[in-house]
Formats: sequence, structure tokens, C-alpha cells
Amino acid sequence: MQSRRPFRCAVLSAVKHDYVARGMASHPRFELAVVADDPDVPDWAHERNQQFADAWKIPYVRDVERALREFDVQVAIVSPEAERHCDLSVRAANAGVHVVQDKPLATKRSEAERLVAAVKKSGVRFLMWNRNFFPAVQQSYEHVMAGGIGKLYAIHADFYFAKDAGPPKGSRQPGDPPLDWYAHQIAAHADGSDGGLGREPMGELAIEGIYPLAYIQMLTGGAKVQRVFARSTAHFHQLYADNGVEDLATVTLEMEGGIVGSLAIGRIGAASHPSGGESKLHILGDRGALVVNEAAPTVGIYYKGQPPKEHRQRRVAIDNDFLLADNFAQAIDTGGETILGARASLAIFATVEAALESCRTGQAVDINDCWERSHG
Amino acid sequence: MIRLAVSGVHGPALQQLSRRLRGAVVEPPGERDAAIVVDYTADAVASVEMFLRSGKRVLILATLCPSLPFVDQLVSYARGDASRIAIVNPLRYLPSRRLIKGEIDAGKLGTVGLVRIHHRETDDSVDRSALLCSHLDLATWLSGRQPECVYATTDGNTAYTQVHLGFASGASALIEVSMPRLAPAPMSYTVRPDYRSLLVIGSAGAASADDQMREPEGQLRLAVSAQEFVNDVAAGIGFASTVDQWRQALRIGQAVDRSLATHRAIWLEAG
Repeated sequence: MQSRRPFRCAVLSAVKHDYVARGMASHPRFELAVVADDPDVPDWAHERNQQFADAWKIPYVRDVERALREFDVQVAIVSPEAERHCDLSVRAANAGVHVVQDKPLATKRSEAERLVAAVKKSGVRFLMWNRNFFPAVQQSYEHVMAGGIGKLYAIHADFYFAKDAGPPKGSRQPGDPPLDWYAHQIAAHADGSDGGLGREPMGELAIEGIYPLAYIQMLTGGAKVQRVFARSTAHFHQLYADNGVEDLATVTLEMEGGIVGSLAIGRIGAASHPSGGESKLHILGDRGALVVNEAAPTVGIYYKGQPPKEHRQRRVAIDNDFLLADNFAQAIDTGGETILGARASLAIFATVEAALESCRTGQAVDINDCWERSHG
Repeated sequence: MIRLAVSGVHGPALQQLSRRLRGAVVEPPGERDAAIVVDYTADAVASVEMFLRSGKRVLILATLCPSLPFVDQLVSYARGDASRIAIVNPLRYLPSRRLIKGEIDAGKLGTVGLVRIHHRETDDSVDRSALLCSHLDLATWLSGRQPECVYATTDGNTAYTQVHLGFASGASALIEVSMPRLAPAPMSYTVRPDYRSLLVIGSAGAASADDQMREPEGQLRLAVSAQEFVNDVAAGIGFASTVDQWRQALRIGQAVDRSLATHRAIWLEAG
């Protein structure tokens, strides 16, 4: 059997989710070669990068361009604070390096477009980290694509994290300062709930919306979202209320081909579900329908003295990391598109952007109109 | 003992209802103290009018009251006394929904932020508008407040409707109802064709009732609502609030129609 040389990967900041880098390293086609970041990042970021490099016994270089230039890397794995995502990805793409990026795509439309342009110009492959290879989602996809429910006309996604994010809403006493978003996110790294890491506060739509919207995008065969109506609220956590962002949102989606859909998303508090939150898909076709528990398959584990936060239902057969990495390797090999490329991610960004505008205005928003206004 | 006329329940179901009721006896139509109407045949129409005109009380299913003029007509039969008319949304009497409402009222779930309803109807005889209004009423009942805005959409087919209700402070409800298609093709459901589900998320907890809104829940809801009606009749408690609540659901239903027609969110006036 002819073995191919693994793709050498530069981890461009591991300050947020090191699971992206770990996930890529789970595949034999990828090996981590170096961790790199800019020299002027805060000390805590340097510390995290160094810890990750030490754990993998690879160098940590405080110079991104040097790492890309001198370590013979073909892939960049990007997971810094959210507002630095695009910049690091663009620099990697401009250096001719393929990019795997943590979510969200960007915090600004201009940055997202700059990334799409850089990926296109350089011809590198781009993968936005996602959950589309979760077994229940994949099985649904295969069933829908095989015509199992006929022509799809509606799809609904529920996506909840039953986690807390600091003290509950309403707990701030008179005279107390508002909770600091950035400081909270840095501290939240300990339990992995720092998806919104960055100086700029982000709501759940911006942080996590890519996951269920990527499901919808895939399951509809890439149908474009044309119009949205959305509502949002800081319903659970003081952190979100203090920073003017939502921890619960609902979105009506109107898509190409007359497909109707909806998304309900939230960080709904640890008390709301015994196993971290329930995510579901309802998919309706003219010949049938699916109700999909995104967590399936699971195994129930119950025992005396079980810690309250330990999940009662444990997900099994999750092979998402390997399959994403495999998909990325194939895209590099063939020059094809990844399961969630830059342009598809930009379409999801545009949906979230329009939904947030709808929340502000109280009216439905056409995606194209929203797009034109942002360029106005 | 209250003498009760029942219209629309027959055979074993009527016998079972008779056995369950405490404080009332079900008798053939005629001179009775009160009436329960769960279908709307020509005979039932006449008996509703007769009972209300003669000062008696009537329980009528909300799904049989499809419009505001219809409700006004009922009230006019009662000479303006809405307290004698109990308009009952059967969805409120499903055991699963009552349990969830009880937990909400007990404060266990905190303030409701989201109500999520899915309904696949397989019965061709069900009126889409009335069914949708029943869910609008259920959502507002569980939310504990009236919506401030409504946005509705379809896939271009009147058999499918999705409604987005907005409540104060950004809370919301999402309701989607699919009716039987005119020419249904063979099914390949991985769930029952008449699947229904309800999810409620509050600030302190959540509740879900998935795929269970059918018999025996369906049988129990009539018995529970009938017993509550009998109890209230015996205690002299009026039902005007049920009329107001159903009127409000119908107004929201009108907003749904306006939203579908204009493709815009409809903002409702307070109250």
C-alpha cells in the first residue's frame, strides 16, 4: 500500500477550542507541526498556546508568517478569539496554505468577504468546523437525498446547549458593574464553554448558529435562505443581558424552492436538560417526515452518587472529527469543495446577520436587501 | 345532580363519559340543565341556541367556533351574557399539556421564553384555521401572555402553515401545522403520521411532550373538560373568560392571515 505523506499543520492560535486541532490530528493524513501566534497577543494567550505546544511536543513560535514559511506546513488550523479568525485565515490562505477554521466565520461582514476572496484567489481549500458528520445528521441526509421523504418542503432545527454561563439573569445587585464578556469567556475555557471568546460580545445566533444552519443547508441540498424573521432575548444569563446579546433566539427561514424552515437556538441553562441539551431536526417531505434526535445514538448511564452535571445520556459512535478531517483531505487531494466551504459559510453568516437585523427592526428581512445595505 | 345533554359523543365513548362524571347525569336531549357540544350538526346548532336562549349553560369546543362573528352570535343567543358559554380549547385539556401548565404555574420553569409546537394532522375533516387557532391559544396560555407580533409563512401550499409569535422582551413561540395533502402519496414516516410535539423552555427549566398527543390523551381531555364544566356549573362560576380567550386566539388568527397576505410581521395593539 502506498502511503502518502501527511499534511503538516500549523495551529494558528489554540486559545479557544483546541478540539479543532485535536480533531484534525485524529486523522493519519494530518500531523501537527507547530503552534504559532502573533507576538502581541496577551500573556494568557501565549500561555495557552505554549501549553498546547508542550502537550503535543511541537514548537510554539510567536511569529505566524515565520511558522507558515519555515515549518513546511500545508494546512493551518485557526482557533483564536473570534475577531481574529478571519485575519489569521486570510494570512494562511495568502501564504498558499489550506485552512481549517473554528466557528464563527467572522464577526464582521467585511472580514468574512475578505476571507472568501482570499480563499478564492489562492485556490486553497477551506473547511469551517461543523457537526454535519454526526451520525444522526448523516443518516438523515442520506435518507433525504435518496428520496425517502419525497420533495422536502419544511425543515426545523432545535439547537440548545443546556449549560450555564455565569449567574442567572436578574442576579446583578444595584451598584454592581455589568459582567465583562471577555473576562468571562477567558475563564469559561476551563469547561469548554468559551465559544464566544473575544472582546466583542456575541449572542448564540452568531456563536453557535453555524451548526444548525449548516444542517439545514446540507439537508436542503444547499437551498439558499432568502428571507428571515427572528426574535431574540437575553432570557437566562446575566452575562448576556449585561452585554446586550441573546441567549435565546428563534428564526423563521424562507428558502429557495418554497422551502419553509425555522431555527430555535439557545444556551438554556444546565437545569433544562439532564444531558447537555436536546437538539432536534424535523424534516417534512411530500412523502413522509423525519424527527431526528441529533444526539443519537446514545447510551443511558445512571448510578448512585452520580454527579449532577454528568450526562445521563452519552453520545456514542461520534466520528465527526475524523470524517471532517477525511473530507478535508479529499478536498485537498481532488481540488473539490469541503462539506462546509468559505462561500457556504458566508451564506450562513448572511442568514445570521439578517436574523439579527430582523430582531432589531421587528420585521422580516430579505437576505439580498441586508447584503446590499451592508455594502451601502 | 346536573342533568346534562351531550351532542357529538355516541356509543361507548358516551357511556364512558357518563360513568366518569361526578355530580352530573347524562340524559337524552330535552329539557336539561346544561349542554356539552363537541360537534356541530344541525341538531346541535338548534340545541345550542335553545339552551342559551333559555338561560342554560353550554360547553362548546373552541374548534367549532371558527370566527369572531360566530362567537358574537353565540353571545347574542345568551342575551349578551358570555358567562354562560364555556368555549373550551381541547388542547388545553390534554393531560400532558395540563401537567406542563401546572409546572409553569408552580414556577418550576421560570418565565417562559419559548413554546415550540409541531402538529401533523391526518384527519381530512379538521378545519385548518380552527386547528391553528387552537395552537395559538395553547401557545399564549402556556406563555402566560398575549403576543405583540405575528409572522406567518407557508410553503406556497395552504396545507402547511408556520407561525412565529413574538412576546414582550423577545420571547417567542414557533408553531407549525401541516394538514393532509389533497392527494397524499405513500408514507415513509419514521414517526407516526399524526405526530405532534410540544417543547416549552423557561428561564429556570424546560418541559417537552413529544409524539403523544393522541388517544388515550384524547379521550381523557373530554372527560376532564366536561367534569370541570360540571363543577363550575354547580358552583355558579361563569365562563366569560373562556370566551375572551378564544376571541383573542381568533384575533391572532386574523393577524396570521394578514401576515400571510402581506408577507410582513403584524404588530398587535396591546390588549
